[in-house]
Amino acid sequence: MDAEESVALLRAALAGDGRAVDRLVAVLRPVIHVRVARTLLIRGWGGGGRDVRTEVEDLIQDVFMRLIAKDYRVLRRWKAERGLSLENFVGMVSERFVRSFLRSGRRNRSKEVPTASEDLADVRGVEPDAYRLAAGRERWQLLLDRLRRRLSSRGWQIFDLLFIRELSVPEAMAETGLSSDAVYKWKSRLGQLALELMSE
Amino acid sequence: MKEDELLRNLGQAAREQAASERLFLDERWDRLAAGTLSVEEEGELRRLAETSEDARLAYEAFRPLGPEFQAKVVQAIEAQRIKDVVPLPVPWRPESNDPPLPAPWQRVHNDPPPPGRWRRQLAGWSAAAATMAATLVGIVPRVLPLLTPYVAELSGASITRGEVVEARELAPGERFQATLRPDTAVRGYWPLRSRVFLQREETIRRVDVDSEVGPTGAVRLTGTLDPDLSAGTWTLWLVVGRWGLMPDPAELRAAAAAPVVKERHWVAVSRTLRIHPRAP
Repeated sequence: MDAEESVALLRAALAGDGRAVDRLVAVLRPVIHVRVARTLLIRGWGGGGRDVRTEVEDLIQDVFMRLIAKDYRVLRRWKAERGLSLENFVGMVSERFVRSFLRSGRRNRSKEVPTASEDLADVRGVEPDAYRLAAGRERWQLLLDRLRRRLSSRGWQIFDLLFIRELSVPEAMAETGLSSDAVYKWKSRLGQLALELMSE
Repeated sequence: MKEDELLRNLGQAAREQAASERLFLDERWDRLAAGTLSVEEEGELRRLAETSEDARLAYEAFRPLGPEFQAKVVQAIEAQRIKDVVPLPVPWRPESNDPPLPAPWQRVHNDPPPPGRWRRQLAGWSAAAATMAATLVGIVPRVLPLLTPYVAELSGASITRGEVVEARELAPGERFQATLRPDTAVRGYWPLRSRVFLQREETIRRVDVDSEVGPTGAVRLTGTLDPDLSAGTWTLWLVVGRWGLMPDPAELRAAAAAPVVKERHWVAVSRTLRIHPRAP
């Protein structure tokens, strides 16, 4: 849909035209569906005992309710002249909604970060079913997100080299130009920070 | 857990996350959601879904939504619109005149047509038209869809600062307002009517009200309690339904203060009211 069509459709829907509302839902539904599903999965949704399909459908409906609540307050904020298409504006709202939903822990029972005495041992030591595997992985990813937010770009670079790409210390020194002392100091700081975040 | 082990696990989580992101960013999922994949591509994704838990989750998450979901969302939007748009009852002051109704609210007369009206009407038509009309009067109610559920709000002298506070105590002779909102907009051409009754045990009496019906089937009722009403606990019945198909008061009496009674063509919502004696 071009900007002019979007403006006309939105105007008609805001005026209460039932057919325009139906068409608006038909246009926005695929955008919201894709953004909700992708954000949910990439952010490591853990399930919490819920079926992913149900979660996606509920979130899509929640996004629509957010868009039209209080007389379409959020949708009224879209302005074609700002350069973002209506679909992309709604897609952005959808992604933010899902991220907020995951952070808030509503219906997401696996948001707690594991401590040293808890599920880490369970997840490693026992053959998990799909739900437990997903829930355990989500907890690691939450901890990873926290680590990413707390680290400077240099710190993340060292973490990436040593623990994601699994390079040796000499290889990390070559990539960064840092001395071995500096790399080891970073490694120690990373370990302390990770332990601190896990115990928060 | 040692720091090194913790960091290695975090590294593993980061690698898994990157792999998942590559999987989830595949544009074929977008086309699956849109229903525009070719048969071969859909087959590829089905086979992919069998290879890993992530792929299975992606297939489930991006599977297309059907027309039922579209209808469900549209209905939910309409229900929300009613809540947002139907105005709350304004604070009532005895000396004020009723404000003019915003279009397209319409005042309705709730009394049924006089008992012989239809028969007199039909007698004036030709025999064939009369037979057809009589048949339709019998058939049409059976083909009308189930009336949507309604929720009710009641207010009386306890309104403060323009907010609606659910009224539980009223005095004889006191005015009250009630709003009945449908879960989904009521469509169709069969007009709606409303009734209000007060019940205590076997006694059930009708309360005269003025009613206004909004474009989506919301009903706003304004009435005055009988000044001779005795004090005590009563059940107030707020009924909305299709004209000519309203319940007999005996049906409500038999419901024994159930919170909601819902039949094909009418809905009755009850509220418990304490009627306290008027101040001398």
